[in-house]
Amino acid sequence: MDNSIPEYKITHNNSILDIEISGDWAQDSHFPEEFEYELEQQFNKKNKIESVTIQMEQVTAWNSALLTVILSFSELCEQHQTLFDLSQLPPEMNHLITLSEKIPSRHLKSRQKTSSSFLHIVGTDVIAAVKDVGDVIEFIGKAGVAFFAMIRGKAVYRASDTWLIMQQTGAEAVPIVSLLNFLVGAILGYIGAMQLEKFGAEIYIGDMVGVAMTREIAAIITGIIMAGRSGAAFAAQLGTMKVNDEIDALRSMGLSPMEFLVLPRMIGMMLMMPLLAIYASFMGILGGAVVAYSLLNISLEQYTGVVIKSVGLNDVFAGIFMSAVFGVIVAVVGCQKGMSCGNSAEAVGISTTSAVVTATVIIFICAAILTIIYGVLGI
Amino acid sequence: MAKFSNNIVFNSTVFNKTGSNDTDFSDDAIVVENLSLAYGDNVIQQNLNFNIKRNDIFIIMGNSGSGKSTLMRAMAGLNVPAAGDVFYFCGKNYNERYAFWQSSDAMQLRIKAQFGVMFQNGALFSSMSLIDNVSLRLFETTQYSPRRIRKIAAFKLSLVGLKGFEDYYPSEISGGMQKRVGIARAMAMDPPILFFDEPSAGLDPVSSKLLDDLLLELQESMGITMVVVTHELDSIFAIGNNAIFLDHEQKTIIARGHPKQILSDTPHEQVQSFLTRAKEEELRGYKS
Repeated sequence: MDNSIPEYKITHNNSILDIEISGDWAQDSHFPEEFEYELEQQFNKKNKIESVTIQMEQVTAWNSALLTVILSFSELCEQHQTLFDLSQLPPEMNHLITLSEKIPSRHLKSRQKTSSSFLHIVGTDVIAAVKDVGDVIEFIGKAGVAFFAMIRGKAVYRASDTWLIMQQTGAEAVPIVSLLNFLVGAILGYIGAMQLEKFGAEIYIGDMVGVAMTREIAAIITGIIMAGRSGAAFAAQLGTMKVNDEIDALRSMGLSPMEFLVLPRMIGMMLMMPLLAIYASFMGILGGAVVAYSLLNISLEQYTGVVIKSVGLNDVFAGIFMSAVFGVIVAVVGCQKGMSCGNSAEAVGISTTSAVVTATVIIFICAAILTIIYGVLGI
Repeated sequence: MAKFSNNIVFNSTVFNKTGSNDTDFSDDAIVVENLSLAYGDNVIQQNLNFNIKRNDIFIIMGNSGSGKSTLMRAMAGLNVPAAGDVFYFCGKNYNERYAFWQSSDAMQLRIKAQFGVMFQNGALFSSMSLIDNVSLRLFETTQYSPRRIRKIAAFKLSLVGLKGFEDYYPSEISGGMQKRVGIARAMAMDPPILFFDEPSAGLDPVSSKLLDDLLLELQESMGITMVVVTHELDSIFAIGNNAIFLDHEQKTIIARGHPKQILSDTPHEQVQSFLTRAKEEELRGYKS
């Protein structure tokens, strides 16, 4: 007999079932999964089993895996009212079985898995979405109250936090804002140049890039960058603070989380977004200039002249207003998702993702609405 | 007669052995030699030397900031020590000695199969159900069938009194229950050694007593060597049969032995006050 291989023998002796187990049962790679199945099959045979004997003297090692087989079979014997005397088992195994049944458990109840129909899932999702919208509206209302409290000088928040957030959302975002807007300006210029060349109107590349970047594109691109960068950070920061009970700690001190945490983020974003958008417009126009100079042989003087002539103050203020709106959207959505986060690491991840996706979608919707409004008002 | 086997039997031809006689049967489960712990330039403990016997419940005690948890983390392969090493005894007769921190990554992984760790708050994965938490390591490192793994995990949950809670999530159960799931997860692979970081912290006295009883039962049933970091006096005296006391000023062990023996024999005032303080407060509470 090879002591390193787990072996078993099941024999019927009239109404007695003999189980003989031997070898090393502690190795997962050699565990005979069919053993349990074969034991179960014994009750499907014609011979009635009145009692079970088990011999484990030849077993050199065992672990929980063998124990689970014996426990399952023991339960089966109980169902069939067959005598299976567990005292035949090694004392350690018996002790473990006793322990597994001994420790008192409060609220002992099994969770029933429920399967949901398609309609139920859709209905639940719609209810959740409506509740989400309600939560966002409530949050905006509370943020507005906090904002007016600040204007009246009654909000309790730390100015140093606001400066820090302005640094994080403004100065530290400059490299990525520069790169992306420069490239967008260059792409816009290149595609525009190919079309304008057909009409011999290459010179108007400055007009196209300048107006598009200043009025909308710079604000949208910067808004999306900030949603992915700062909005996600707000949701993760506030979500983690909620998990660590830091928000409740603020409440317990009589401080409003809306004023102490949300307000500095809103102010920081509202102030920094327009500045970043103005800077982003310049970077986009610069990108267009590089394309115009290198591919279309338009001099920088000519290009700059066209840009100055075509871009009016109305375009600049339209872009600034749009970027300020996007700043509020990113801050409100990021903070709301963070504040409504669940109490786990997974929930923080979900909130962060949701903050980015929601803010991006709202930015595009608002961009479309504002463009129409600008058009109607003739701005 | 059949023996309960705690986990993987090492193949001695594969791994580096460092010293020790291969044929002797060793009583030791872990030997800590010249271990120093530091965070950057800040030395927390130095030249720690002690051994832990198999089947012992070994207590690491000391004041806050003395480096108890850091020591446990260094022993469990989580924090790299500044100097020294931790030796584990493996093989069928526990006669093969392996230096954890001198071993290769692959070897360290195999040594890690010799122990399970229960963290202070359970450290359960919030996105997984309780049974998934317990069965994760079995799924990733063994060849058992999914059905077998689920049964093993369910059995481990029943050992800690959580039968019926398999499909619950960590956020749906109490802190004490989370700790018990942490124990079940640490035991998933039937390791011969278990580390516990402050198992009773944050529990009410009744839950704390139940947890102590559970550790004693598990130790008795499975012959597990337990290394427990705690400063809960009731637990120290209830479950510990060997202990060391870490001092944060001298940065080394200043008392060792059975907790009751330490209490009666130690010449160190801080050890005396540590081991008697809670009792005094308890008595004061009764009087008032």
